Amino acid sequence: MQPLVFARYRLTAFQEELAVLERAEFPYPAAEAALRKIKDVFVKHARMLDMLDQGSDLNTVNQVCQQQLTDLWDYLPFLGFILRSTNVRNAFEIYTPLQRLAWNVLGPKAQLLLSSEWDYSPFVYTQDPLLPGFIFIGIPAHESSNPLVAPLAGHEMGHALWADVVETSLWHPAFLSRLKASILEKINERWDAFRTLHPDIQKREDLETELFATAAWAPAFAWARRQSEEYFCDFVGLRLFGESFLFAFAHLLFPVLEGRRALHYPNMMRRVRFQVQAARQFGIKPPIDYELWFKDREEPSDEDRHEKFLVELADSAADQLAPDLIGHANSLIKQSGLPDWSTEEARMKHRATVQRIYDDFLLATPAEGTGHIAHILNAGWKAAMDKVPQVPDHVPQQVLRELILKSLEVLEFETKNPSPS
Amino acid sequence: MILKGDVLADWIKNPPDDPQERFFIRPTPDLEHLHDSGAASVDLRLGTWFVTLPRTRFTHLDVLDELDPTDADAAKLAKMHYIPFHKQFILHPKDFVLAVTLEWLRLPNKLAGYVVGRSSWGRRGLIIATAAGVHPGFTGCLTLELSNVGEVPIALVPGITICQIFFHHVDSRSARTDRSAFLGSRKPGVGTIKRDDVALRLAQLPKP
Repeated sequence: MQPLVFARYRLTAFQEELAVLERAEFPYPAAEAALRKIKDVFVKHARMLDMLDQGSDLNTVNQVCQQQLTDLWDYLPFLGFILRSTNVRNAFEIYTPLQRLAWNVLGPKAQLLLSSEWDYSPFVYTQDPLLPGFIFIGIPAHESSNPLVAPLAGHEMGHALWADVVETSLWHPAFLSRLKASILEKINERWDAFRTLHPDIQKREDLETELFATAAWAPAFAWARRQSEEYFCDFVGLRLFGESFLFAFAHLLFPVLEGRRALHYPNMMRRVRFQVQAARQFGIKPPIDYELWFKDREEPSDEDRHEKFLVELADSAADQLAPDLIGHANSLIKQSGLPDWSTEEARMKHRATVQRIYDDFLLATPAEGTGHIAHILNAGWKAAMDKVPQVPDHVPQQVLRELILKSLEVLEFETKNPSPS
Repeated sequence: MILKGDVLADWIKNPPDDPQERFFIRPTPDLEHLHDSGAASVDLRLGTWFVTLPRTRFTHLDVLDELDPTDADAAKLAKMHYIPFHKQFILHPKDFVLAVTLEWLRLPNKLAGYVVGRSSWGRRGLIIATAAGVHPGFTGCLTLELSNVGEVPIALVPGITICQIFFHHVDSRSARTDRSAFLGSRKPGVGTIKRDDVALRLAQLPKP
């Protein structure tokens, strides 16, 4: 019975690879825990295969083998991710402060894995049904020892917050209803243009009830949802890391590449304007001229009238509700221990801490008593933009990176050994 | 002149106006304890990064190659390890490893230091192989050369007190300190051996 033979060989190879990975030097427990969970999945597959033989029902055999193949397909990338998370090119000092932040924002079950990826854009794997609570954040390999990109992990944590908290809350259906209402309102406003594109749809009432009519605007709704999530994640990153998030965002994407925009992301200028609006609302001072650093990517052309119309609907709906998302992100991130910019007193305290850390950096000394990763990264970006520590014959960026990472390790030491005073 | 704990604690606690004369140890040791202990040294802790020189990757270390910094094998082949605070690095008998202090030091122009192992560790077989001199103006974590000369493996844990540093007052008429030569890092470094033209000339075969 061939499928069974192939399945057994595949499983043996995968389990051997798992055994090799288990011998890696793991810098933190989450990577080992994720590996154990994946191992459990394939131990169950092995048990299932052991129960089958030549006499088993062919349909059952096929079903078991297909499920095993699907899981191999799904979990192999996770193994690669876990392996890369152990590579010493990563700046492991970033890890624990980010893990603590994840516990603060997502709860005590959140388990963070950071890896260096051979993909430019940071990304997050979340919501795998067999790996609940695990958040896999990839950082571009060449940046994995650069702590200045760490604020972008705030955006990626935003995706986990969106999936685990927002989408499962009572707030979310109401939000989606308003998003839908906004799209329908826009169609009604532009009814003649809509009819030109969809002459078969006769009545406005059909928009919500007739299958063909709803299918006509469904892509706009899907894009608006995705755009809203991206807005929300930017606001989370900003709320957690302050101004340093904006610098890290620019570091990744400025100057804006030529070419067509992705429809499920807000175009760049809208995204940046809402970042600035959120920053002001949170009490964070954006960099001077921040908006001028960016430009929009190309919108759909007039030749594709359908797509252009739909994306205009999506953009308009996402923009209409973006201010609500700013408020919602802020309300979800109010736990103690997180940086606060909401009052003048808090802002002054934050500025004083950042200045003190920055002054230490200029003396080529890591900081202590910093209290939070965000303060260190804000001081790091201040040094990177204003005055990098100058040591003759040394690359200033490397010196700064060492100082930031050592400050993060000192923060961890202090967290585990609080001063009696 | 060796400086005692009370002088060092005062230096750190009351930083001089001239930033170049400021003395930092980060994380700062318990200054009250340092002040009152009467000790003439400051204890330093083990950091989280280690370097091993894998025996399987090169046949031998050629001192002549090492004398030419462009061709230093040891630096190229060093294998880095990260051991977080809650894990152990097992140093087996006869093994040698480079480690680093948890503390980042910044020495002012008037201060130098000597790092020595702690006798309590030495009696258990853990030796800090050299007494490392720390120059005035040094900034960074100190690389430590650890060797287990005992008979049983030793489990090292980042954060333990591993060595001590004695600080000396430096007397000089020159105010100049070249910080570039003494900038350390947060990781242990194999370092480069300064090019030695005399030794290289002596090692050449005589011309016919």
